[in-house]
Order: sequence, then structure tokens, then C-alpha cells
Amino acid sequence: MNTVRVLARWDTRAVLRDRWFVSAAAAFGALTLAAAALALASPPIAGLSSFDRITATLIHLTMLFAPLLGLTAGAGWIAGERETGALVMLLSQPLQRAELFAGKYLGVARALLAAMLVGFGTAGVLLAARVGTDRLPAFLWLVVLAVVLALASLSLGFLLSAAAPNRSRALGAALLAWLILVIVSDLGILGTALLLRLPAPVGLVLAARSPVSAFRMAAILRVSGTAELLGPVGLYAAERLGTTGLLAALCAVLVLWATGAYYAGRMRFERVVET
Amino acid sequence: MEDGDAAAQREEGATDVIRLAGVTVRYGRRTILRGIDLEIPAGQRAAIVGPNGAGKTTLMRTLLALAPFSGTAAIGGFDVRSDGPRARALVGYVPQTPSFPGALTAAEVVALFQELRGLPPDPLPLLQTVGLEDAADSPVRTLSGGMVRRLALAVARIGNPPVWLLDEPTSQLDAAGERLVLDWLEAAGREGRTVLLATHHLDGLGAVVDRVVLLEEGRIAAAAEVSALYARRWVEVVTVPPPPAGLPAAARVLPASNGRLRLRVPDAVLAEAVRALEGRPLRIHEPRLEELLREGDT
Repeated sequence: MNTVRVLARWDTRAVLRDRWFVSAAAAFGALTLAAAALALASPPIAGLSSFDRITATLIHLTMLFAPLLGLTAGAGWIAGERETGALVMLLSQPLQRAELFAGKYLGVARALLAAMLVGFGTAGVLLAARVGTDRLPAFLWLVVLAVVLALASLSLGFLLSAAAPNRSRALGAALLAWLILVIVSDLGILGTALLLRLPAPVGLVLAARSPVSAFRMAAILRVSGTAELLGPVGLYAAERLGTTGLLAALCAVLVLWATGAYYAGRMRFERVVET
Repeated sequence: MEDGDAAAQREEGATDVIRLAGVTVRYGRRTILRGIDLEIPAGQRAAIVGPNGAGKTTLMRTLLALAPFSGTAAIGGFDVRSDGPRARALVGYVPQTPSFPGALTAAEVVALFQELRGLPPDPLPLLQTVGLEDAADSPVRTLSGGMVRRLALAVARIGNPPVWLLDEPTSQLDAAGERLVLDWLEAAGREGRTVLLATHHLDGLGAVVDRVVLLEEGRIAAAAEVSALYARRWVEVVTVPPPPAGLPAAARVLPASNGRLRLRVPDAVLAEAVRALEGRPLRIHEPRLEELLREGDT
């Protein structure tokens, strides 16, 4: 366990010096703050409160940025060190591959969480100052869900990185995965459901297959407190499972993505041959 | 790093030796190593020599369980696959092309590797041993190839491991760096450290190793103690014809080249042969240890 801690500490330091990561994290923070400020400044739309407008904006920003940050940071990390040869130096030390994988994951995860919390923190302070703290629990739920989505994306990134021969190939795969998760998956599910007139249970299963969809549904459900905004699939699910049950199921999907992809990546990393 | 069980386990096996038995490495259809059997006793400094693609680096990586292989490989009695961390705890490794996380400084790299071996971070003394104290705060990505190799040498010394695996240890180094490696290898002999180094050629390294193993096409083609090779060493003397009278019987006339007389003269009778040439202009070619090794295993 000490090995994991040591690696995590040094990897966090290295990630926080990575220009791409710092730029992407800064962009996320700036956009979060700007979106929150704009939402607060704009007049009420369709009866939505300032809080609703801010959280709706943050949900969409998170859907774009959390997977991008997690996937790219994870994908580049192991593959990049494999490409330069730094990985071989680490593997020549008295440690297990599983420890190395865990240490690196934890190291990047800490940096990722710091970036997410800075972004949400600034928006949270603005929100508390202008709107009050009545709906703070709902906002904190959104932060927690965003963090789990980022970790799920990071696990996917590490899975792609585990056996990739170099950083550029891993990053290419990560960007493709991001496109699929964020754009193709949602539109594909929507299109397929409409075209084939899929029954609600099938639609629910399809929607929950993507961590981004699961995040979106869980966040909307928690922030609005109703399944009405989720459409027929959400209504069906809430009717069958109850609002709390549906929220729990969607959280479980996110956690499963995070842990499943992590262990799949670790297994792959333990089997890969360093040539 | 080592607990009581580990020490006891090492006692049961051969202590601090490198042992490969029937090691075969295949990448897809390519066979890199073919049934390698090799034992390096404790305290011996052995050099693996061979051309590019002979399998030297793969052999090193096999000992770190970085390459997939059949057969068995052990360091200090610890199987490198089933007891990898314990085996690697005994090893200081310098790869052919060393590299470290580019965002960390040289001092941070040493501190990281010290902590990975359970030691408190204290990088400066080690950096001083390789002449990198002035670059301690420089990010690795800004260091030259030679400086990164020096850093790798420093990292290989962390925890004073009893075994060194050095892949092309003098490549990319300037004259001072080469001298440093030679001094370390010389000291390794006095300290009883076990060394396995891989190199294309032994130029300069012959004096600081005890044994040479010739690897060709994934097989051990020959192996010999350096002292035995020196005992049968000869030189080639190139001079003007004809062959002189009074040439020692042990000397041999080789086929002429460009009209020049070529003589093969054992070290032991060189002085006698030179006297027989009676002041003729001559040039002496000393064979590499690899050439002597190729002529026959002792």
C-alpha cells in the first residue's frame, strides 16, 4: 500500500505540471464560472429559477468536460510513459504491476478531482452568494455525480492506456471514446428509440449503458426532484423503481463503470508485454 | 526491504546469483532467445556480447519479468515471475535507453525511486556520485541523453543492490562518464557485487569483467573467463615480406594481404618475434576479446 501512496503522490505532482491537463482544467474552471455568471445575469426563462439555470448549464458542461478530462488524462498517462521508456524503469523496481496501476490511477485521480472541485467550487461560491444555500444539498449531489463521472472516464482512459503502444494512439482512442460517449451514444439511443419505437424498459437499459447518459439522468433527477424532465423512459423507470430507486440504479451504473473499467484496465496492464 | 522469510528463502537457493534455465522468448512468430542456460555466480561480473538483435536486451528484460518467456529465471534464488518484487529488490537496472517522467526534476526522480525501495528521500549524495548535483532541480525533459544515463546510473545504486543489470552502460556517455562506469565496475569486483552487462563490443570493458558470454541469434555461442582468454591471446603483426628466419615456432604466417606479410603471434612469444623481424616497420593489431572468444570455448 505504501508503494501505491508513493506513486500516487509523485504522479499527482507530475500531472499538475502537464500543460495539456492544466489547460483543460483551467478551461473547465473558467467556463464553469462564466456559465454560472451568465445564468445568474440572464432574465428568468420559462419559470426556471437561477439555481435551475446554473445547474442545467453545469450539467451540460460536465457532460462535455468531465469525460474529456478523465479520458485524455488517463489515456495519455501509462501509454506516454511506455512510449518514453519511463514505465520500464518503474517496472524494474520491487513492486507489483497492480500496485503501479493503482498508484498511477490514484495520482491522476487526485489531480482530476482537484480540477473538478476548483471548477465547481467557484460556481458554488457564486451560487451561494447570489442565490443562497437552500439548495446546497442538490448542488453537492451534482458535484458528487460529476466526480464519479470523471472517475469513470478516467478508468476508461486507463483501460485504453493499459496496452496502447504510445501516447498518440491512446489519445486518439480516448477522443474517439469521448465522441461516442458524449455525442454518438446519446443521439444514437434517442434515434434508435424513436425509429424502432422501443419499449421504455429497453430504452432505459440503452440509456444506462453510457456513463454520460447515466450522469445526465441522475443529475437531472436529483436537481429537479422529478422524473418528468427525463422523458418517457425516465417516467417509466421512476414508476417501476421509484425516484429514489432510479437514482440509486443510475448511481450504481456510474460506480460500475468506474470500477469495471478500472479492473478491466488493470487486468489488461498485468498481461501486456513491454517490448 | 527484505524480511526474515525472504532472507531464509534466499539462503535455501544460491545466494545473489543470476540463473536462467531453458529460457526461450518469442514475440509472435519471432524467437528472440532460444533455450538459454546461464548462471552468474555471486560476485562475478559477466558481459553479454553480441551483434544487434542477438537478444541481449531481451535477456536483461527476462530477468526483470518484462518479457514473456518459457523456462525459469531467478535472481538471488527468487523466481522473477512468482517472486518478482523480491527478485527486483536485489537489482539495480540501467536500460539501453533510460527514461524517467519528464515533468519531475532529477532530484525528484531519485527521491521517487528511493521511496519505492522504502528509503527516505535523500537525492543529493547520489546525484553527486554521478556529477549531476548542478542539474538536481532541472526537469528530466531538459536533460541531455548522457545526463539521463547518469541519472539512471544513480537510480541503479539506490539501496546498494547486490546485483547490477547494465544494458550498454557506456553508450551516450562522454569520456568522464565512461570512466565513471569503469570505476564503478572495478569497484563492483572488490565489493563482491554481481554484474551482468550487455554490450555490442567490449572495448574498454574487458578489464573490468570476469567472464564473457557471446550471444548470437538468441543462443549462447561461446562463454569464457576473461583470464583464460588473455592467457591464449595473440596479436597480428603486419610487416614487409619475406617471413624472417628465427620466427618462434608458435608464430604462424597468415595469408598475405596487399602484399604485406601477416603473422599471428601468441602474446607469450611476441618479444621474440619482434626481435626476429630485426627492425622492420610493423603494425600490431590486437584482437578484441570477442574474436578470441569466437575461436573456441574454454
